[in-house]
Amino acid sequence: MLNLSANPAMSAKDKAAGGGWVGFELAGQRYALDILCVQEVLTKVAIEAVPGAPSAVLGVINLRGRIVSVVDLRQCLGLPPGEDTPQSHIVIADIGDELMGLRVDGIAKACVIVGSEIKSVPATRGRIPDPLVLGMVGTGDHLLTLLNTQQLALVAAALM
Amino acid sequence: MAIDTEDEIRADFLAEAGDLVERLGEQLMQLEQNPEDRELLNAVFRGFHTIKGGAGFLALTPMVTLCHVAEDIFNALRSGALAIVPSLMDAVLEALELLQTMLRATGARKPLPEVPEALLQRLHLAARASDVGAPAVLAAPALTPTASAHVAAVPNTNTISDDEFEALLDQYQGAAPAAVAAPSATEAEPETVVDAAPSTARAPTKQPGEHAAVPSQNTPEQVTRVDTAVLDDLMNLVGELVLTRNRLLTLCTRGSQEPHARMIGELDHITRGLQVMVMRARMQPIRRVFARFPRLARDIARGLGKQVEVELAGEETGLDKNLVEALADPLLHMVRNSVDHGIEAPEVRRAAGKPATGHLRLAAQQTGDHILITVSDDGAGIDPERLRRKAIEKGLLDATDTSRMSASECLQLVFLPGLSTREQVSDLSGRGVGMDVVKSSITALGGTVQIESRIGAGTQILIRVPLTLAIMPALMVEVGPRTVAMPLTAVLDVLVLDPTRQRRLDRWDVLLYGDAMLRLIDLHRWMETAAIDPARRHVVVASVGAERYGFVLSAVHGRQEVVVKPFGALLRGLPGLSGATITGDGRVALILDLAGIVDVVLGRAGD
Repeated sequence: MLNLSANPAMSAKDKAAGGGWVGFELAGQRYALDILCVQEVLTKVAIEAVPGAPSAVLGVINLRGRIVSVVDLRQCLGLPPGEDTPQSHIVIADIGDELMGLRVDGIAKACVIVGSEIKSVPATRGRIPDPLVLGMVGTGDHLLTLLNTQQLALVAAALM
Repeated sequence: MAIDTEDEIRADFLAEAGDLVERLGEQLMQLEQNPEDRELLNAVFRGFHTIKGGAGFLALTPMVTLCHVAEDIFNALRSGALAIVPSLMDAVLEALELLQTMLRATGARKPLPEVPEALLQRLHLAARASDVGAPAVLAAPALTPTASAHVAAVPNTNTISDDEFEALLDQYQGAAPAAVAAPSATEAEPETVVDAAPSTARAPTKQPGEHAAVPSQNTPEQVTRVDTAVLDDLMNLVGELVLTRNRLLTLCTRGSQEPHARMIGELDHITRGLQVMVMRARMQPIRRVFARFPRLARDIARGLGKQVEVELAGEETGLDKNLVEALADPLLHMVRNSVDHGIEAPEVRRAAGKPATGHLRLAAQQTGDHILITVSDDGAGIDPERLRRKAIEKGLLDATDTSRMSASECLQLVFLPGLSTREQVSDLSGRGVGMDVVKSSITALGGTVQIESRIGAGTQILIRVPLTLAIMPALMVEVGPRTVAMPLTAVLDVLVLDPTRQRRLDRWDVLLYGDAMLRLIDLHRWMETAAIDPARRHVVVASVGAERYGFVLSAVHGRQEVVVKPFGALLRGLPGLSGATITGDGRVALILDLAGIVDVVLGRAGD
């Protein structure tokens, strides 16, 4: 288990410049979440399926005694449902006053992005629901899509 | 910064004033029974005074005005210059209600309503009408031995006020005519009277529970306010500690090294103690729900032209805070029902040889690991035959179903959805919603409801709820590869499924169970998993509402106390599940809501 919120490399100075982001992979694409809303990243956790739950909700896990719902972030973004693989991780994020688990295909390293590098996204862009996308950043060989977590709560609720 | 501080002060004030207002409501009701109780008069005075102080600090002028008037009245009451009469009490209760409205407005940051001139006038008028010396006081049923017995019990009575003196005089004269003679106030004599007062006069006629609330309020400095979220977190952590201990215990029995075993035994002991203490910290007296009912019942009764007195018993019984909140609505329904349907109009009661004022009793007591709450009235009672006819008439049951039912079983029909016995719908109850809602909400709390009634003599409703919602006795079962928890309160029987006794009836699989047919619900299908060994399955027989169902599953583990944890917002309100718990090996086990599962299956069967 990697506890990112206690990562000393992410100093206050970095955040002032733009902020830290936790990168991960979904369907071969790179995405990132604001590090301030990520509590930790888990791997190899047994997800207990919940009968009658919306399809994007994979089930619940035991996070030190708390029951935390886990969603398939691919489905939240309108991508085809993902599979549970050895590379799968669950990003525990603080979303709308509640902890939620987001299953991603793989985790990439945390990075710092300067605010001015973030480019806004055209109104319609593929299948990704726009309210979830905060902006994009070109980092060398690939594009990184920054997600807006507060809107994620709304989208997940709308998937009910 | 300054704004933050004020917010904090405001929040503190609201919390404190809320408590005080709640307590004032209770105290005023007690005062009606015991108008001469000095301690109560002092407590009420102090209550208004404290609220006034806080309101003054926050510049809530209308609140200050209101509290000031009330304070004046109670100051006069405790000095004996005034006596309590019904019109005064009504005006003060109205003032208290306005105070509550003001507190809500303060909480919502809305401007406070001004104190209506009419209310102020009524307060002044009522105060004048009850001026001692005016004829009104003769009618006040105040000067009874009960009241004076209390006076005698008040410590430090170095000086004695006029009305106390009168009370003692009456006691001496055999409490005969309540002649309010002008007291010849000799300071020394009454003191010896107090000492000489026969001890028999101190003890008697004090009704049980009447002053239960007073002594507990004397030591406020030993009480700390704790955010309920902190308690919940604490409970969670203790739950985790219990799990860790369990794992250590398993490790230890494997390795069985002597010193380790002792340490773990100690850890076990401490964890248990901690768990009990945290549970106790979450307990609240049921008074918090009960307290509102005397006034509420009175208000409802007045609207219906009825009279009712409410007796509370066992208000100090403690139960989990969530439970206290969850019980408020069901109890409200029942109190309304009792006053609306149960208690008759005064003339009807008199004709039946009963006192004109109806009696409604709310009582709570702990019995084993349950709390028993009874709501009883001495009203008209319920006719089981009428319920039987009504149920058939509305097509809820057919005649053959009901013909074998006993009178007591017929009474339980009251909890059927869609059954209302009232011919005329009133705006309070009688729309056929109510008792079934009561039943389902009590069941959701893991409790049971039962009704007993005798025509002409009254009705008694018995509610049993577990001590806490956080921990629930459960039957741990296996459905395919998964472990789930079933609430133990509903479980009647467990048996191995004998396929030779299984039949198909309409859309249902049924099992010959004794001489009855038991509808089967396959949990494997509901959980979308497969039985591990289809040849060896089990049936858990459980009661759901008035019916029994057999739940088919793979294996039964046994009874376990589980810590109930709610789902997050995404999963809340899913039919058939009431939450989840963590098993000894750290996995999540879903807690089934059997009534919800039956609803889902019935919905499917109806398609």
